[in-house]
Amino acid sequence: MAVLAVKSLTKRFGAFTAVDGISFELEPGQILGLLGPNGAGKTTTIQMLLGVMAPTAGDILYFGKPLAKHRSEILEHIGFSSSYTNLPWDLTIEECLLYTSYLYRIPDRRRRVAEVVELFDIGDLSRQQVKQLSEGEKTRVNLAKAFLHQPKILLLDEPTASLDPDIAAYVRRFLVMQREQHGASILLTSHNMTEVEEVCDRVIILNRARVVINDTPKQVTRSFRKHRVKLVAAHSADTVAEVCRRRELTLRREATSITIDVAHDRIAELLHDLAAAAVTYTDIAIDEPSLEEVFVDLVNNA
Amino acid sequence: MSWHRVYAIVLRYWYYQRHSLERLVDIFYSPLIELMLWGLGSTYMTSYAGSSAHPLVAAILLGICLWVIVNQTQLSVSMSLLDDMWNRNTVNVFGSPLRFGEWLAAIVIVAGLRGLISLAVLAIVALVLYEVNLSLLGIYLVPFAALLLMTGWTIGFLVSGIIIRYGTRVQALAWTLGIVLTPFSAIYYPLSALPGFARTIAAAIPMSYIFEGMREVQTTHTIDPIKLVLALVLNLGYGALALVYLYRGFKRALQQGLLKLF
Repeated sequence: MAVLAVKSLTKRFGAFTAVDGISFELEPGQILGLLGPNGAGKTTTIQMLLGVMAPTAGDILYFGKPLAKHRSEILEHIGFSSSYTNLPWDLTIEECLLYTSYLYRIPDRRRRVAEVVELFDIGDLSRQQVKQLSEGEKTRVNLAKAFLHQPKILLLDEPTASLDPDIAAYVRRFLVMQREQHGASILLTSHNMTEVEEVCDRVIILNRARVVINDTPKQVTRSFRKHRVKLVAAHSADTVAEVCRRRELTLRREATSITIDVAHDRIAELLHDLAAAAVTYTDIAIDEPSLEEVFVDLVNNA
Repeated sequence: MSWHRVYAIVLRYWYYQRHSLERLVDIFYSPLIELMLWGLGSTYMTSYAGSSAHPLVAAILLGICLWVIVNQTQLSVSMSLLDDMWNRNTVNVFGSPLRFGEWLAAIVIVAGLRGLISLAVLAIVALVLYEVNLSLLGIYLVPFAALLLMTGWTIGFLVSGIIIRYGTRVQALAWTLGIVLTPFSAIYYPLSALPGFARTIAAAIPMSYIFEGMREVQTTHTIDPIKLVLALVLNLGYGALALVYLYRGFKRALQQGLLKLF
């Protein structure tokens, strides 16, 4: 059973529709990426999933129970971190985590606080006030807060925003580790497509308030954009062009190379045809399209 | 109701308090200055009128001591919401298992403690500097304090209900709305000193019965129980209305999303 099921979720502000009947599921132990350009409805969706915004229509079910009726019971198992929110400005990091530990009734709270402080390498900051921290440090403290009660589900809005690359890489490894060791299910939003490809089992792309893609990152890139076969074949350029014409493939000629756009499942056929036509090439590269390219295409063509 | 979550919010306000000089100023500085100004002014007047004016001075200073309960309690309730809005922390607070009722219970406890601590400090200062003893009110101090706490909570709920609807642009109400009621509350003078129309308004304000009762106890050591009953009934009525107004404001804010609450 899905740990989170979203059914026809809609949010309207007067005549403006911010989220338009989206449906998706988060499976146990899955890392799901929620992507979309600014204003696509990601943050609105996260707010509704967290119970801090009432949907206009639709259902949100956690562990099979509706959020609207079991809010408090459900939120005990949800961790949340966002770059859009702050922790109490005047409190020290230790105080923030301690009061949060009471909020979630964490047993042996001092030990658990010490653990997350160590996990996110914020020991040196624990006596500092939130207002004294850099953006990257605040993000780490927010993540520590989200993981403090070892939640079953994590809703992470831009979890690596403002982090140095090494810390961001650590956080990505940490998310995967949480999934593997504790079976945590994670829904995250990000603008970093490389990150999404690296950690997510599945991606949902929102555009103009609707789900336009819901698939694995691999399948998304394969289905929505062609691979590029790049050949250095100076003496066989015309033959290559003829093969492509017969297969109805587009190609671009450059000074010394030819680039052919071809679907993943037709690459073998193309190479077979080139060999049959006795095309000789001195170099070949097959570029897999990136999620970022798919994303840009989708947004630009919408 | 989960008391560990209520405790979490109370604990957070204790942490706030520890770090913020402004909050200490709010609790002690302003009430102390007011008490000292009235105390010095009254002492000056006594020097002309003689010892016969001492009961009058005592009544004014007792009024100030009791008024601080309302003022600090309502300020604390309103500030609880404002703190989270200023910190952009509402989503972290209400995106946790915390229920609205638990949040409310926590701010009622914090506000009550703040009101009573302020009262205790002013009572000590009034005794030491002006020989005005709050124990003059005897056992009646208990119902007076309880009723004034209710009034403070009620004003705080009303102010919070307005702020949750209209945002921080109306935050000045946290410091000013309670004060609007003071001329009609008979804190420093008896109701008979008010003009007719003001007395009509005062009749609808629970504080006026309490401060009238305070003066009655001071002079006769007893009180017409009707005053306490009327203050209680008015407090319960206004308190319920203010709570409904705040709760509806919260539900309305949920329509827009609590992230917008700042």
